[in-house]
Amino acid sequence: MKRLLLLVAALPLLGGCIWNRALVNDAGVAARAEAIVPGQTRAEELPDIMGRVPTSVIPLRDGRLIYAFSYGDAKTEGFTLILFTLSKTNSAFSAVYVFTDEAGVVRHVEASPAPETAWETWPFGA
Amino acid sequence: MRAAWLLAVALCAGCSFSRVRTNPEVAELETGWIVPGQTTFREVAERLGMPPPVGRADDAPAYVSAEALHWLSTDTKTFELKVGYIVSPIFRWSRTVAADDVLIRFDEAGRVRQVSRTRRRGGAVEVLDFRGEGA
Repeated sequence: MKRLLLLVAALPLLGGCIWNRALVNDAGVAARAEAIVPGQTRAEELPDIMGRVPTSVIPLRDGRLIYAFSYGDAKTEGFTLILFTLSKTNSAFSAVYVFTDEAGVVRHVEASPAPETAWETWPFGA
Repeated sequence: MRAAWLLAVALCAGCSFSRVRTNPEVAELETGWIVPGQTTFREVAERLGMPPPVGRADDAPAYVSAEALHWLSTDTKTFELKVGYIVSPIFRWSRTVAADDVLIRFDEAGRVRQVSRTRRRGGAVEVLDFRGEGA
């Protein structure tokens, strides 16, 4: 009984936990990019296929362009104990890059690996 | 002396340690197979994948160009100390480092001109790969 009372008395000392998740743009572009046909799809068709306009357009040499469709994921976990707070955020970003030639025809599609983020609390260490 | 300590404790409104890691998978990239002067942009993109944006998802142009592909993983550590209650200034110490940095530069023919890969842990910087032009 005494232990239970101590436990109940200690509960208010637990300030609280923190979970926060932030998604940046729509990760669905990675799947939608599979509908792009190199050699056929034109740059002006990309917004319809991808469901949004590119995040950025990167000029290459000879009039070639890269259309980048970026997205990301960030997870924050932590806890507050009275006056003391610990938290860690793991974030990762990715993008689908569509390469077009000087005539505006898609030549190939590359992507950075899909973001993989873990929930972690401890902010110290390597 | 004791009163000073009591006052300091009474004024302490809290402290926090926080850390933000971005794109930690960059640490796993291998560049040893790249041969400067031979390996092409396309081969690098196919084997390593394209670089992810850093910080904001629309940062891509800074990391992808005809001249270079740049993979960057950042590590930000922040300590905050809040003092006082009615007027509560916050003392913040924050440091961001490029924890893992892979930069591959290309010549006009699209072949690798230079490879560099560095890793920073704590205050120690380790050059894992540095080959090609200027090396």
